[in-house]
Amino acid sequence: MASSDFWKEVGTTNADVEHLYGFLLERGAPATSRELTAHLIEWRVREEEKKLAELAARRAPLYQPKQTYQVGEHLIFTALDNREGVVERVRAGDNPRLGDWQVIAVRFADEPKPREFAMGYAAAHPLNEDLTKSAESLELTPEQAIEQQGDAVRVALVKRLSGDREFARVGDDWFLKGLLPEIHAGYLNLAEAAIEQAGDSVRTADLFKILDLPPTAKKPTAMFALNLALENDERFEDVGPVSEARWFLTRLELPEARERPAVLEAAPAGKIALSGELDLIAKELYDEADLNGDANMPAAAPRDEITLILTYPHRQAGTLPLTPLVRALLPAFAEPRLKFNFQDAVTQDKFAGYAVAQGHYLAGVSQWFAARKLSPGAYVTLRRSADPLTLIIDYQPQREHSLWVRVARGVNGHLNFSQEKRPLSHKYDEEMLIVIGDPAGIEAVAQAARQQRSLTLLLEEIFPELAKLSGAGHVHAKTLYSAINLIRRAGPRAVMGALTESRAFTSVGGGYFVLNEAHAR
Amino acid sequence: MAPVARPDTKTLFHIDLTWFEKNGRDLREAMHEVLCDECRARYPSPSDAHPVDRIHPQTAEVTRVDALWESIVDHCAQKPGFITPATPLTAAIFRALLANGNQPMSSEQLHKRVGKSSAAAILKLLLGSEIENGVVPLDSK
Repeated sequence: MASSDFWKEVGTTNADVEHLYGFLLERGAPATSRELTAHLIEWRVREEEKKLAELAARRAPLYQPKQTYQVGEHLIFTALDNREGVVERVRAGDNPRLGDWQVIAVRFADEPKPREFAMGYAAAHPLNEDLTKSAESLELTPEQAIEQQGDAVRVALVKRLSGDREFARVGDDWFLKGLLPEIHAGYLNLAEAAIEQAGDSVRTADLFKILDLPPTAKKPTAMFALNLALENDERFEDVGPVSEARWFLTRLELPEARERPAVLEAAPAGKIALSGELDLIAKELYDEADLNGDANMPAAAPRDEITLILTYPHRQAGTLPLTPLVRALLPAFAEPRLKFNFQDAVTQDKFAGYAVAQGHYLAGVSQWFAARKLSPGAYVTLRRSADPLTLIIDYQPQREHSLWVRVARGVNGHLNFSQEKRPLSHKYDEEMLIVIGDPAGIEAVAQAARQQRSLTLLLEEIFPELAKLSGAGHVHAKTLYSAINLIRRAGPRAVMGALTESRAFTSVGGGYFVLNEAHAR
Repeated sequence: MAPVARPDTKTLFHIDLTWFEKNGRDLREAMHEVLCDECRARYPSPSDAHPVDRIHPQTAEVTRVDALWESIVDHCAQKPGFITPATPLTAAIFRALLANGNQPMSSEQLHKRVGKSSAAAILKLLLGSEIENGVVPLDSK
């Protein structure tokens, strides 16, 4: 068997699964897929070496078409799974195209009739290649094989074991179902009470101490069984980072962490080519709606803090975007949710937060926003802390005083903007700030906008309203992005793409646009 | 009545060897025509091609096969001129199936082998009203 074929097979065969079954049985404790892979490769390499050495040690030569053999000679046929046969007859080959060669009739022990094979045939044929190399060695030590083939074998093995009823999996740990101690309902009820009392997620190891399980199995096995039982019970959810299961109660999770708020749902943004200026603006807005499900990619240059500009959908939902840069502030997690704590930078108060993988957002900041009376456009800073599961949250407070600001209302099914004096107690992005004058009216406009109008039409409708507030009729792309998001969830790239593609608008530089005369009312 | 699957680019086609006889044509003549010059010199007419030994390309096991098939599969079809861009599509499809020992091929596989047209166009051609060179869907009665 060629080396590449050999490695394609490792991790996929019944024999491999049986061997790993025996390995786990003997070990008596769970193993990670990496450990299983390493063990399997080591075993397979040694077995193959042994098999090849046995072949080499057999007195019968390996059959090659180019060689010549005598009647009565024993041969090993590598292409027929190393079966051994005896040469019974020799005759001349009959094919004028192939020149002079011969045919041997070979008798195999379990076959009634002999089979014929070429002999003295020196032309190119795979069996005429040098057999000594492939027959005697894979030319790899088990350690080298693990390094070179480990990843591919692990993928194949995980796929194979996932479909096998005998094996149980929790995270990346594997064990045998039949050897797991029973975790009966009473223990799970106790676990529920313990988590409720803690008011926070609890590590499996801590639950294990609390539950005081009978010592019928090794501790890692009992922990595995406990993890599996918790995972299979809808009351519990693993909300811990990678390689540290932490269990919490689903009924205590925030509704907005369980299900993505509808207000955050955006249509996928197409691949839109923006000018360098708009591209930079869009990138600096860190909106998860632009990710199109790609938030898991590593941040190019992870930072210790990031300042976001609050948008209306997140203000309403009590959430923040989970972009790669934000994700890099938290430990890696593979479960649907990671539970952590926000900590207010000023008061040091801690409160529960969730990083939600599906939908790419952080949940849990509704009350924090409300207590600080933050408007869309406010700066919010997230900062890494010494505890990986604590994220410091901050804003930029200022003494509350009345300022002339943009105020949005819904009037007769349309967005209306005006400049009004309003008290504000936080710093904000000038272009993004919009104070909500009439939430119910805006919701009515949003409902109509969701059902009917295209982004371009909405922009054309909103633009004159915003332009009337500026003397020159200029409106910044960020203002339009912030305003559109009052009634339709859209990422900056989608908004700026629609602005660029519409004939109604012309860029006047610096991120500002004007309405072309033909479209001006 | 069992539902009939609509043919697609994965539907397999082969040469129906009985088609030649039914249509007054000689398959061996047609096979002889695709031989390279060297093989045609060895077998000047189809009747000169008797069964010969064939060496299996992987196991080197020897079997007795018709010399025309053996020459086409193991020799002529291995040469670059067997199917060229200038070969008409219907002839190229026939040659591709001969080269494959008449093991069934889909229009996707045929497209890859003949290197022209498209899988969909080949499928359309093979499902046309005229059967060319006996090439029919594998399950057709």
